[in-house]
Amino acid sequence: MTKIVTGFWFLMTVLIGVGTYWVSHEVERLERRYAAIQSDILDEQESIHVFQAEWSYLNAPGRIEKLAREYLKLDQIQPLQMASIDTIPTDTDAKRYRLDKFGEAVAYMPAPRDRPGESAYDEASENMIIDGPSVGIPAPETGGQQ
Amino acid sequence: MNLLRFSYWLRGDRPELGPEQREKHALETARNRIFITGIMFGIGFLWIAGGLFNATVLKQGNEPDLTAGTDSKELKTERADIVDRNGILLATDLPTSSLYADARVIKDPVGAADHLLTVLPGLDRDTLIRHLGSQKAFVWLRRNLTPDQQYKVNALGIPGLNFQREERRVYPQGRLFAHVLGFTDIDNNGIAGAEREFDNDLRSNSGPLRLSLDIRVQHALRAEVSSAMETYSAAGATGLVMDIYTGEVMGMVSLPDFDPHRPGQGPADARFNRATLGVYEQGSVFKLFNAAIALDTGTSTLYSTYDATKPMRVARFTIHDFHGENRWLTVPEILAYSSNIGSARMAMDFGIETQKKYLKDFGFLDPSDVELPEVASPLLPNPWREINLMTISYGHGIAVTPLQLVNGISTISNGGIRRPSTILKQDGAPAGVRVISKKTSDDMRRLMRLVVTEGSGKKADVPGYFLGGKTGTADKLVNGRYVKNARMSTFVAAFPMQDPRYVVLVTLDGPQGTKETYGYATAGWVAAPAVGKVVTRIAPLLGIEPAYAKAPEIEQALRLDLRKEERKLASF
Repeated sequence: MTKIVTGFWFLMTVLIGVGTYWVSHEVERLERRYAAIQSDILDEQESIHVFQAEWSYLNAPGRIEKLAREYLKLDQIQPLQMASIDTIPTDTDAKRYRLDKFGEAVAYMPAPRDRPGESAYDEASENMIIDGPSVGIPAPETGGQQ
Repeated sequence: MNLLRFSYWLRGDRPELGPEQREKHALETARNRIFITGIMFGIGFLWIAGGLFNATVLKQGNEPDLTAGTDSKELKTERADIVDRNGILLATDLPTSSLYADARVIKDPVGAADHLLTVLPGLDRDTLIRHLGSQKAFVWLRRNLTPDQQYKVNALGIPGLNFQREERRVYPQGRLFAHVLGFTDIDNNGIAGAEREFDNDLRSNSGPLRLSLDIRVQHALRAEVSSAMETYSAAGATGLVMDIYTGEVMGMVSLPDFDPHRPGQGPADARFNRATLGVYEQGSVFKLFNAAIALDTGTSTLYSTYDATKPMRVARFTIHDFHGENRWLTVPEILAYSSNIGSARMAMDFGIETQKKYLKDFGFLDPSDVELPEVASPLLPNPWREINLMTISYGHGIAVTPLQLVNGISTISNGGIRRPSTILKQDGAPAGVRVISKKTSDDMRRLMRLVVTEGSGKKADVPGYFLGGKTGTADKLVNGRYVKNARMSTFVAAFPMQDPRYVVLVTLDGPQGTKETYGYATAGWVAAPAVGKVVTRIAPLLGIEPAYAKAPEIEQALRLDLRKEERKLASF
């Protein structure tokens, strides 16, 4: 009995000793690795820092303008070319489709947009309509129809 | 004897007993002692075990999600970065290597110098030999080498030449922000501009310094101002853009400018920041302030009339009109035709003290509050006589910086509240001081618009953006005397006038007329078109929608008749 207990405790002592030693070594190894990673991170941060400076340099508006002038066929945007979303007509769908007698949407023939001051409707698009205008969606207000 | 007994007692021996009992007793004592010692150790171990259990299970059951690193390092540069309002890098520190010598180790200074000169030809041979032969432990040879130069010096293999890692200030945008940012000396001390003003903050490096300037606005401004300067062969030029509600400077250009990496190489004139350090008589632009004072104090209404039939004689001075109308003028006409006589007469109605008080409120009597070391004090008349009252009404006899002027125009057009000019990004509008009433500001907006639709600023108009402003052409003062044909031509405008957001100023120093301007070099011909071009470029960037659909209504709202109808009937 005593022998077994003694053997057990001896084994435990050895195990704990080895275990402590192993943990201590492992901690040292991890600390070295941690330091290495830290220094890698610093190196990376420094590279990123240099790249940021380079990025800012390459993105200098003067340089971009020069490149755009050289490679793009674009010009300075004029205020006239800008419009807001509100100025786009919202009932385009109603002008483009109507419901036929089976309740299916039928496209009007794509007609060129009216020029200002030119209100006559396009006869060709009228000919494409199989039936008279249905009631589901208001008929196109191209003018001169009614 | 006693000592002997004590030693027996100490051993647990009892000599008075028989040998058998003594042996038994000794064994018992030993066992007890072992037992007690065991208990003591047991308690000790339990204590430790308990402590461990408490520390590992009770206090913090699981591992913390995030390790609290105490020794993790962040890259810290000597000086903090400077970024624009959108976070784009304007100034940063980059690592470089600098070459120094430990002269004690150098055996052959002349040979080493000659070798070194093959790689770094820019060095002076005699100085180099002197340094290398000086027997000092540390001599700088060349600061901030390129990696290529460093490699070549290393390849020479001269013992005693070493490298010191250093940081060097780099401005990726080059000249674009030269005057605002300033520059640093070779030891990275800020010695001009924001680098100097915020030197301590930048050194302590707690995150980047965020300026209020916008790189896109700055570029557009510089491009247009420098093109105008070139077209009209001007000696110099200034451009400013300011957010009228926050006092933030969005763009600040002073030409000619310099390369901040080599500030010493340009002429001294190039390092002069005309926007904050140059004080100039601003000319007719001041008529706006004059009108604002008159309307705000109530000494004039919009349709008060003033006699401008003939030049005004005061003491030994005569006040002329440049575009003489030679009749009675209303306030809108005085501004539209830029009448000096009319302005002087308006000023006489409110007087010197009122003028002083308002000009102080507009910030013209003190240096600007902007965070730059290069800030000039305005030049003021002393004593402030009646003739000064009159000349100041049309912008002569008082000299202020362009930045102050822009700040004043912001105050006039933002509803009448003055906020200090700043080059730092603001969160929302800072506290301001009311200078003129909302009503006066509204009237001034319409008057400024009138100058562009009917008056001298027609060439600045950009369809859709409703500029409103004022031209100013002043003869240049050189050594206290006016020089003819050396002018400062200024145009300052706010836009869009129905809801002003920004003020733009362009000043050309000594412009020459061209064929296209029929030889004129006045502000309406040279500076106004430049402002128009700047607005065309920056308005979309700043998110201002051109107003076409609503244009007739806006034009109607901003409309101001030159004369009242009945007055017209009465006067003719």
